[in-house]
Amino acid sequence: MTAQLPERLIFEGLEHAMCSNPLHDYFALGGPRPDFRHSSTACWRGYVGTWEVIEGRLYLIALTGRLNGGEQATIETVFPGYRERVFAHWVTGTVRLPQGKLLEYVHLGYASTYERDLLLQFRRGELIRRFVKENGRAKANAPVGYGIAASTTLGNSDVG
Amino acid sequence: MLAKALLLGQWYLLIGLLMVILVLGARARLIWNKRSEPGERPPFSKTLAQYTLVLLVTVLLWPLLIPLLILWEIQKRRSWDYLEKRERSFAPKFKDLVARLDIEAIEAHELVSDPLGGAPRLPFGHLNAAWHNFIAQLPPDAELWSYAVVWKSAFGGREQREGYVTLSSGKIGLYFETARYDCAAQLPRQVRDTSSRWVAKLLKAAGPRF
Repeated sequence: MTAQLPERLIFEGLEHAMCSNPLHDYFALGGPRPDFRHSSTACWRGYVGTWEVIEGRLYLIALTGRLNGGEQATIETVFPGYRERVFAHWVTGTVRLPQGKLLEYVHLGYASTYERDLLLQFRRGELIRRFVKENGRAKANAPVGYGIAASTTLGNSDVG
Repeated sequence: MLAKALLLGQWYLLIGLLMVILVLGARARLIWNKRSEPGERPPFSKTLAQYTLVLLVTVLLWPLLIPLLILWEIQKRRSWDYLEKRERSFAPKFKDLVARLDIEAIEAHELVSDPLGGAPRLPFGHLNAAWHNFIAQLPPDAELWSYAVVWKSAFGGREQREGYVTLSSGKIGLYFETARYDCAAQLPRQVRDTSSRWVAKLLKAAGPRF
């Protein structure tokens, strides 16, 4: 599997790349999964969600992608009747926000490592702890921020 | 002295012959597969030479092959195919059960409420339909239990899994999962709430109906 496009998370006013897929958990717990089109090898899930922590709660605030039928996917595609935001009450666990320079690139999933990980731990969608994990110091010329080296487009791409 | 050396030699060759069976068992399929693919089929003489070489090397040099066999086994056990075959499908067990609950108690406990209107005010919120599908399948005599377990995958991962499971005629049946997360991705153990403690706290707070 190619390195994957991250989700996006707005936390304390800053947008971060998020190397966790809360919607995957929703589908695994029994939520109906729309038939997303796999538009690129860098996005096998077929969508990219934008999330925000508002008053200590995790919300899905936007979703981009395309369905196999050709329609544009939005939040309402997954959560009918919810246009602006969806409270991610099913999220229990830790989401990872890589920070700083690249330490080691791995062309697989979210396996690359960065200087730091900001870890946010949620219980039923509520932020209960935050933690910074130091992974090491990168070379001076290492690229900053999450990135993927290469991907193959499988059709019209609406993600990313 | 000579008799002793002959006896030792006989044992050496005997063990070597037993090793031949093991090695040929492991390698025969590989050699045969190559022969059965028409495009890659080597001449019969080459196959015969391969078998003979394996036989001779094994009988004469079997002590050197033991570490090799161990290495093969370790490599096999680390392979994706092997781990995938060993992976069991998850199902809660009796030891994972935490407390017997009724539907009303579960629904009261799992009611989702969001001040920003981001979820329906229903048990399990956006997953309410999945919950109704689950309870529609309950056998008439089924008991409902909460469960919490650290599930160890064949790949070495550890997942915390929590939810509700049916117990009918003394057997564990369908389950409805409410949480599933990778333990390795969590915060350090000393600052982490364990699920069992969390469930125990909830049960205590909920009072005698639980």
